Amino acid sequence: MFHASRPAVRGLALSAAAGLLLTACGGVVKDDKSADDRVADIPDAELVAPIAGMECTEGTPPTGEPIVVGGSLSLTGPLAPTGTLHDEVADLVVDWVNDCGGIDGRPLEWKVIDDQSTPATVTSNYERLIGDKVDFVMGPYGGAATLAGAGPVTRAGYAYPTATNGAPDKLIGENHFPAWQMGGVDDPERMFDAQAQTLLDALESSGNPPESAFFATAKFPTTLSYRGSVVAALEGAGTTIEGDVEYDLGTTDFSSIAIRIQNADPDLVYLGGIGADVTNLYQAFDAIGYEPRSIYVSLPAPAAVAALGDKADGMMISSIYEDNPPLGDTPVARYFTKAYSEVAQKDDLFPFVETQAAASLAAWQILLTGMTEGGLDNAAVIAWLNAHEVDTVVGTLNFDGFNNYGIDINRVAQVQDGKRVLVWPEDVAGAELDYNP
Amino acid sequence: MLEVRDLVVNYGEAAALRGVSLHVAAGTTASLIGSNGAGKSTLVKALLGMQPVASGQILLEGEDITRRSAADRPALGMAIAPEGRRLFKEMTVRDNLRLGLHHPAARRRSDDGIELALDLFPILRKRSRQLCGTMSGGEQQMVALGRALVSRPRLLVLDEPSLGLAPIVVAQVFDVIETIAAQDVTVLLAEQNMHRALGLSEHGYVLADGQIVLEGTGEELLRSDRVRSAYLGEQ
Amino acid sequence: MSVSSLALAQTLLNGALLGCLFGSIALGLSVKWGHLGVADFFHLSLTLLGAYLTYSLVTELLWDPFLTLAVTVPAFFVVGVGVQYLFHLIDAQPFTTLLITFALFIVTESVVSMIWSPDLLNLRPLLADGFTTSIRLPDPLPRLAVQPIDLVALVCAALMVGLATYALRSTRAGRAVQAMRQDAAIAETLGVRVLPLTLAVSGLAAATAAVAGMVVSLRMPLTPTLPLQWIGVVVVATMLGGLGRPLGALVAAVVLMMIQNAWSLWFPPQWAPAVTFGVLFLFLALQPLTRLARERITSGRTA
Repeated sequence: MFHASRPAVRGLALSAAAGLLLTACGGVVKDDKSADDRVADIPDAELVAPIAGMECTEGTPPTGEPIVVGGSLSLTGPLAPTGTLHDEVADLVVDWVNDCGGIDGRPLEWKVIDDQSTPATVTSNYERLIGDKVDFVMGPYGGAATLAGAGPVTRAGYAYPTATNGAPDKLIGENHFPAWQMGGVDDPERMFDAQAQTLLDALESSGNPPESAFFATAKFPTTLSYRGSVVAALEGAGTTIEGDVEYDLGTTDFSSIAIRIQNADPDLVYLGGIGADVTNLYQAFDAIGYEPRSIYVSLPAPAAVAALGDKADGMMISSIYEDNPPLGDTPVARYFTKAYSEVAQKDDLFPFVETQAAASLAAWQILLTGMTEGGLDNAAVIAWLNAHEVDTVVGTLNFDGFNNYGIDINRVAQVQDGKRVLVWPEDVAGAELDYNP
Repeated sequence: MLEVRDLVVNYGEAAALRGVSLHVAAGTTASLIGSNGAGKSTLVKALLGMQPVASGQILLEGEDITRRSAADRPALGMAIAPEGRRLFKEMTVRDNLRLGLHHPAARRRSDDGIELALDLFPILRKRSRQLCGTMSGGEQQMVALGRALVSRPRLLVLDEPSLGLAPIVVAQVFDVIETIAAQDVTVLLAEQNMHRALGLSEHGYVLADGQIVLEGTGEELLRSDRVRSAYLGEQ
Repeated sequence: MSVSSLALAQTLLNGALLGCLFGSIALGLSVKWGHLGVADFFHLSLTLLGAYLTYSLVTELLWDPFLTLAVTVPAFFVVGVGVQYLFHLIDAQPFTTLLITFALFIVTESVVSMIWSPDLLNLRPLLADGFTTSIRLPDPLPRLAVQPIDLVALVCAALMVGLATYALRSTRAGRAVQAMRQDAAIAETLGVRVLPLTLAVSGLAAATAAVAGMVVSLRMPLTPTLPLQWIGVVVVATMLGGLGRPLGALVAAVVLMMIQNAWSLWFPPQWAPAVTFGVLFLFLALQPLTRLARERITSGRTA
């Protein structure tokens, strides 16, 4: 039927030849130090209770009616890469608590419903969970989802711990217990100021603060608000803003933005990007043979930074936790780091603990502390948490400020020798910021 | 050459052909006449394998081709210039003619078929790169005839070749058909234009309501009062 | 903001090269939409699958990326044939095929998430420098940088679109495909076997997704939602280029991406995708005018 004419054959031969030619100039090289090896390097850790006020009685399996914690997470759709991570931590914490004998001898159970990255589904998921009479709830991932879930959760009188609520300025109420604390102020207009100040302080600590900066920000509520505060802080410190562009969420082609940055050649590139934006921006830099003098990235997917390899060295990243002392050197952190690396690696997720996984654990620590100290009742948990501080893997938190954000725990991390380490503020830093644009 | 025996074709419940039998001798031209809806097009489609047959037989030189697929027609030496011409309008004249030689059997039989068609229709040689959709109706009919002729078919089926053409063009088309008929080709001509069709046919069949109601030589039918009154509107 | 002519040239070049990749993806869509009447959204998913398969073969078996084509191209050909055969079996109407391919489009995203995780996968760190280090145009030319990967995209697009265009216009099978689209019944009486030809076209179109997928895996980090980002440019390029015209789709994709990139150089980048649809809107709005003009010219010529 299909008559291959002679020219067609010639074309095929030509393409094969071209393929071989290209093969000759490039191929595949295997990393000598793969992530697998680094996971294997994580030292074994002893099982300890996940929170301060809890005993870990290993070997006595919990019995009786389980305590069910329900949650909605984006297990599919665009937010799935991070949503899955939070599901992973939830499973891990539940196993952890049960390995330690449960809560009051009762087993903990995690009940998750997929919201397909759609806020409307988050609302109905929590209505369903509350209708199913779950004992407690855990917040979803992301600002829009958190707000979407807040309605039914608050009306039903449940405590609402959240790991990474990206919309801190939208008031939820006294039942909201954020792990990723930002603000620590009473004025919702100034929620991002502390975080911006931390970045400015970090840059100034180097002795070489940037004289010029270029901002590229994804159209995403958190990144935009934060960008606004950073622009104001840097301008206040005398930095010239060479450019300030926004791009659509999910943009993969950064070539024009890269060229604009190359044109301006600023001391600091500020990428208010999330997920894979940083990979795509570097791809565009590569294409034009440009290397930024220095770069700060607000919410990158950890795997995206890791995949940049050597190019990421020196990159600054917004963070609340990295696996370095002092925060990473507690028995709880050590156990979590080890346990998380194992489950995450099995499911092909980024196997090291950083902001998202740590915030997720911290949210669970808040809820578990409320349950063990306040009692197995939402009103009691809410009352206790509002009156006390909670020790978590990301630091000691309280719920006194606007929207229950007691302090600001935003920190600056830097990739140094291929590893992420907190460099600012000094009390949590594992290394000094290396900055000389 | 072509023999049709008791052919029955149904469209759902309705019978379109109710036992049609006819015979076209090799090298002759037969016309199939009848008013609109008499079943001419259905019969043509059935002959070309484009319409499933309920019962009956179609024999080509004694071989039963009733169930052979439409795509086998070129191998059997059949070609058609269909009603409404149905050219590939977004393609050039030359490409339309080339498609007449798509089947390997057609190419084996007639490797110089395109030249043959261009000789027969000199105007097409000048227009060979023109898109068919931009041509006049008469020119399109030339291409349709050419596309059928390039494969030097043994049996050529012409379905309403004069339909929708201006009288002067109709005359040209029939002149061409006459030229073709004079060669060693068997032609089955389905036409409403009885005068010209019967005028150049050795034999004719009158189809009405899915049945052959009359048959005879072209001259006989032209003289027949019944045909004249029924189909020519002459009193 | 002032922009040097060099920066503009660079941005246009980058756009053109990325347009080549989108043109390669649009190739299969254009052929299937134009010639088989199937607006095949699944083609985008196949491209994604091709990218992930390339990723797995390269990272796990350490195959050369080009060698993966030896597996993916035949495999995708079979998939393309299979999907089209399904349409034949159920005698699917265009709207049904649209629904089915759209359903497959959605399902593939979930399946890819399940198999490869929703996380970002990047082949780049594994590639030799020869692939990733930009080369600068030699001296008399402007000092523009080009990524070797983009050259691969260019070569693949040129080869595939060139071959497809040549095959459609100038081979017997290609003429048969065109004829089949315009009048399948008559084409059949000329000896065109519609079903095998349809299956072959569908298979070949799917096979191009394997090649485009390989380029994607070399060119950008992979996430299961990538096709959602391509769909705008690819569909608009397919329509602008004229359904069934691979060369038109390639040219349209290149021009679209150049416009998008140039736009982003001066205006807010977040509106760049809207520019694509703006061009489509203008094109559709102007179509009656161009048709009128064309008719005037044609009637003037034939009169």
